[in-house]
Amino acid sequence: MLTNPLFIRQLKYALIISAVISIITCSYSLNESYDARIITNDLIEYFEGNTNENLHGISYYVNNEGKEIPYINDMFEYKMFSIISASSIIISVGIMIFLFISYRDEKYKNTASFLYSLPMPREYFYIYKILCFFIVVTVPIILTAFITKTTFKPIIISISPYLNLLEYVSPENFYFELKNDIISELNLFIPNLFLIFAILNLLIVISGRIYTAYCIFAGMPLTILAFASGIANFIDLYLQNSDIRINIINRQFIFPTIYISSTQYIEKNVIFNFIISFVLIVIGFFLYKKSKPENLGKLFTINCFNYILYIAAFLMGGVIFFRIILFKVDLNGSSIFSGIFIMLIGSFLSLIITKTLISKIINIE
Amino acid sequence: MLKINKITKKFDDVKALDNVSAYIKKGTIHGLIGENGAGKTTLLQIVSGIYRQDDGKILINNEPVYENNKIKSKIGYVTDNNQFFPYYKVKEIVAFFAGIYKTFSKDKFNALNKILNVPDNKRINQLSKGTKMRLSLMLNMSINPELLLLDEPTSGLDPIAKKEIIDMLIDEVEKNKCTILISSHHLSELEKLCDDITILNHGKVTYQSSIESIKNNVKKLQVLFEFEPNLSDVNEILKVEKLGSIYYIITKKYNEEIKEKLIQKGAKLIEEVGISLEEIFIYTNSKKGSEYNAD
Repeated sequence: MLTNPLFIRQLKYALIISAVISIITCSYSLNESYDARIITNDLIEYFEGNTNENLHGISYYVNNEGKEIPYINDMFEYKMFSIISASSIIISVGIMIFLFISYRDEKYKNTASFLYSLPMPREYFYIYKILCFFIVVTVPIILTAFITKTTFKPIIISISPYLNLLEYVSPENFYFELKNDIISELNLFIPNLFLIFAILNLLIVISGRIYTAYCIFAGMPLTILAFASGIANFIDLYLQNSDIRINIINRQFIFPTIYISSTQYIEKNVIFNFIISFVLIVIGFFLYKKSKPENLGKLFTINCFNYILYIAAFLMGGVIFFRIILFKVDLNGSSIFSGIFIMLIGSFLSLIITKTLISKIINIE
Repeated sequence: MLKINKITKKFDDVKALDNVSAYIKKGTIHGLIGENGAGKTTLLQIVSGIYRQDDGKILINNEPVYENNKIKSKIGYVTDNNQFFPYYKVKEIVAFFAGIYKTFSKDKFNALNKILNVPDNKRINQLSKGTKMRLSLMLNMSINPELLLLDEPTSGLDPIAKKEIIDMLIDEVEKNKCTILISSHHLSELEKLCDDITILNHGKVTYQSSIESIKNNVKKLQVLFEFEPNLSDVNEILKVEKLGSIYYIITKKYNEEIKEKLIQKGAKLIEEVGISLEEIFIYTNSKKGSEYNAD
């Protein structure tokens, strides 16, 4: 089964894609970590030296070397980020709708027909997809976890840049429980949202409403993403209980969501994600075997996997460029707009690269 | 070789195939004719094991096809939508076929490629429609299939390539006793190539016969009547067309009995004229023809 040329081809692209994602996420996490160490040290010094100061309204603070470190705590900028976040999501949804329309063509149906005409057990296609998507999702999680000593979970969370940007709003975010609670709720919500989609998808497959499945961009990848978030939670747990975990303030600063999630929700989250995902994969397998191939041909072109990765790439690209370019280089009113421009270019570059790579796998569906 | 027994297939509420039956003998070429949407491609997809029929049976060498890899490995399926994997190079898809089909012969592929000239370093999405079709034919013939299913195989091909492919198919049947089920709109080609034909109309078989039987039985008559005839009670008539005072009558058979009936209706002159498969197709798919089930 594993020496089949179809699997070898899929595996090759799965490894290339996971390597690319690993590089992106490692650099992303390292960058975060670097940021956090500098800024948190500065913050600690600031707090220690200025305990009676009100931090609101501070645009810059001075570090040990006398350098001004920019801060976003201005409501205007905060609103800008919210607008950018919302725009990114709207643009992503727009792209998704566009792809949904343009990709629903005969090409995928024909490729599916070609595959089904081959003398191969039909369930191999399912197993190959699960294995390859599993590699694509889990290899970067594990690599990032052990290289950067943090988790890959933020890649899922970063689908909502809102969460990433919140931490820049003001230093209080990291100390005031109220805001942390909001973040942690969102953190819990997002991976479970994948599960909701996955369950909906299976219900739709059962009822035979395949086209509706497209509309809510559901599919097995979502199930696997849910599964992956379970793995991320496990790694989270491992990091918490091991010597390699990093300074709690740093962790909070890097990914405040993870810390909260780990302490409050980790146990039920892990169990829930793992068990449900596993059950969904198994149910999916039997549904796949029982369902009509003409419908599965449509569903298993897995355009939805495209969409999810496009959106993730778009937003990740946006967030990375946004942070690196906008925050590190400059921070004044005018540069916000140049930052937006750069972010859009970065996003589209990420989008094109991801699309090109993913199309290699999609064409083997 | 291939038994299609009362096949029915529905897509949502649309009946693509309705109680279709056919028997295809080993080492013969069977043509499948029908308008667009008649159900030809669906039938080929069911025979190739892509789709599962809702009702009825498909047997190849007395074994069902669907999810039967042993049987599927003996079937070549060439469609006019030859996408394969668009990013593969030709040599990669050749290696892929060699990995999937144990009976694949690289030597045969190379020999066929000497005739059809498909560049092996190009990606499939860079090939023209005609070249993709040639590639698909070469790949599927190289697996040495017992049953070769061809869906519009000459679509997009130039006349020289068409002739080469028709010659290759005839050669394949003669040398390897391969059975071919071919669907095409080029009826003149089918007429030369096929041993038998099946005409489909809206998912139903409207005519099924051997080419030889068609030529012996179905006749086109040129008749001059003394007065306006009423031919509705002559059951053998498939179609009547009037051109001036001359009547063109298509009959599913022509013998002395029919001739006598026509004379009684006032026929002064009766003359047989040639009829092509295309005309038979048109007449059997016309309103009256669709009510007729031959053989």
